[in-house]
Amino acid sequence: MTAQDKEISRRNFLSQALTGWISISVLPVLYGMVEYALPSKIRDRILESMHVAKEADLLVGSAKIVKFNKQAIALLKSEQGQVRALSAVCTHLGCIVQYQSDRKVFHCNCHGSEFDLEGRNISGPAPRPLQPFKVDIKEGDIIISRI
Amino acid sequence: MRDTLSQHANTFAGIPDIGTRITLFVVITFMLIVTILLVYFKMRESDDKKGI
Amino acid sequence: MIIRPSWLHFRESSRVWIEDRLRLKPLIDLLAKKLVPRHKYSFWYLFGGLALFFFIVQIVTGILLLLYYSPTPNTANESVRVIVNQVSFGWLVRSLHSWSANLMIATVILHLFSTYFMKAYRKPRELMWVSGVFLLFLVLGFGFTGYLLPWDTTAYFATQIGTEIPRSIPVLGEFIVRLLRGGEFIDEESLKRLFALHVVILPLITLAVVLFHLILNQVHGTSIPIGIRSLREPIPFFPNYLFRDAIAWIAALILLFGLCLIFPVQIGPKADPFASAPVGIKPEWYFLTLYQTLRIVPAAILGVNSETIVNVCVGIAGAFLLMTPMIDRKARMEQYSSGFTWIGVVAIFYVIIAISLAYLT
Repeated sequence: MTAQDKEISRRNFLSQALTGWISISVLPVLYGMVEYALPSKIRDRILESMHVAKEADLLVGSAKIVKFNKQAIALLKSEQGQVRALSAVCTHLGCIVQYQSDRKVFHCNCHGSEFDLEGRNISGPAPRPLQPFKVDIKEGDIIISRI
Repeated sequence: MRDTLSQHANTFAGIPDIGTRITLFVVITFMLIVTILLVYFKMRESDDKKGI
Repeated sequence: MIIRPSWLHFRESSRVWIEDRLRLKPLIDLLAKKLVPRHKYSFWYLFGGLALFFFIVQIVTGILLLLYYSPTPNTANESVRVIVNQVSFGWLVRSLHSWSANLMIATVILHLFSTYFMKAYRKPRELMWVSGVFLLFLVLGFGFTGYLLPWDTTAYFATQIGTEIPRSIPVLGEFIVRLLRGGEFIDEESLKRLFALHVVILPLITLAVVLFHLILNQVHGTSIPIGIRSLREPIPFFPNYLFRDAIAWIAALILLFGLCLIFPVQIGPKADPFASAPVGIKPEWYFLTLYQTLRIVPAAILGVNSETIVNVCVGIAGAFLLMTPMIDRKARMEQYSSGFTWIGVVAIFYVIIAISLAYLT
């Protein structure tokens, strides 16, 4: 190996080492930036159960949308007086469904998915049934809990 | 705060009526068509210079 | 002896003063060296420049809107109402921003299809094509992020849907959704994030990619379609072709003002996250193909759920678009690749059918 060759390989080594070292140093910076941009979990703390409405506010055969944490829940009072709570969030892409009392279905106006009164996905692109919630009625107050 | 802001926001009927808008459109179109003509003649002039 | 008026002397001496300091001549010579070919399809060369023109309109009107807009759920819708109802020419500035956005997306799509059918992506312009496809994605990103900012009902649900779609991407899905929304739900954090994307992050990236796209255009010049024998002399880009561009830009400005003044953009009622999505809710025209695809895919095919199917299809279409110059081996050898033309025709048919179905059903 001549002196010139040695000089070239030394320069090669140096530039490769420098590129490698800079790439390695950039990684923690990227990691830090992504961690910074990700929302902290504490902000989304969720209550297990909540008082959402009075039973007297519900009309038989129509649905009322209430707020449970940050989620929309449909409360439905059947003709037998039984109260049912289903997530009002379409399982397809998250629009709020609309209750159609004449057809007794939940219809999503975004992409046309439909759910029956049990929350089962009966037509359209929705892949899962609506999530059910537990309903407790204490002295006319409706309390919803996660199942 | 929110109520006053939204009241405030709706105080004026913003978008002018169709007559005003069409007048504005005629004026703007006239100005721009004159511009196009001027640019066109300038283009011809520079094309002629290069024999295009 | 001719006596020249003094202002001509002044003009000449200022020209010399500027030239001595900026040394613009090499740059102008470089622009004049680039030749634009003339043949029966030359008309389509105008659309790249038009897209750039609308992008400039977006920057100017966007900065004006930024002076009054306020990105919080309590004030966003109201501040847009203030712009439309109270600020002098506010309604016009907002209409210009919205209509110019639509026209920009339309010209970008036309530019993409004309480039595709003329096979202008072939060697050595592969990276021009790839950067152009990235610009299409960026422009759609602008459309998506800007759509939420007025915080009205349609915008709210459009954003809900758009940020929900990535969830079924394996491994990264949840992460992307949280990153876009700044949490699990669409709320103040999401609005601020999409606002930051719309006014800072996307514009900076787009400017860089546009610059790259234009530099490559200068380096390689304009492509001539395969098999076209250009009989007429090509024309220098500067100043001759630039005059043609300018005429197209002014004509586009007339169209833009016409649309804004005859159909000024309205604003919907403030978003209510706890109300049912309104009947007949539809996205902007450039997302209708995706929308209709989402509607017709059934809940599951062979046990794979609808969202995954749509995501995979969109992924394949995007990858095909990006990789076209690498896949099309025939065009690389200057042979006419009719297979790729057919794929383009089928794509256009699918888009037309999907958009018609979305309007009719």
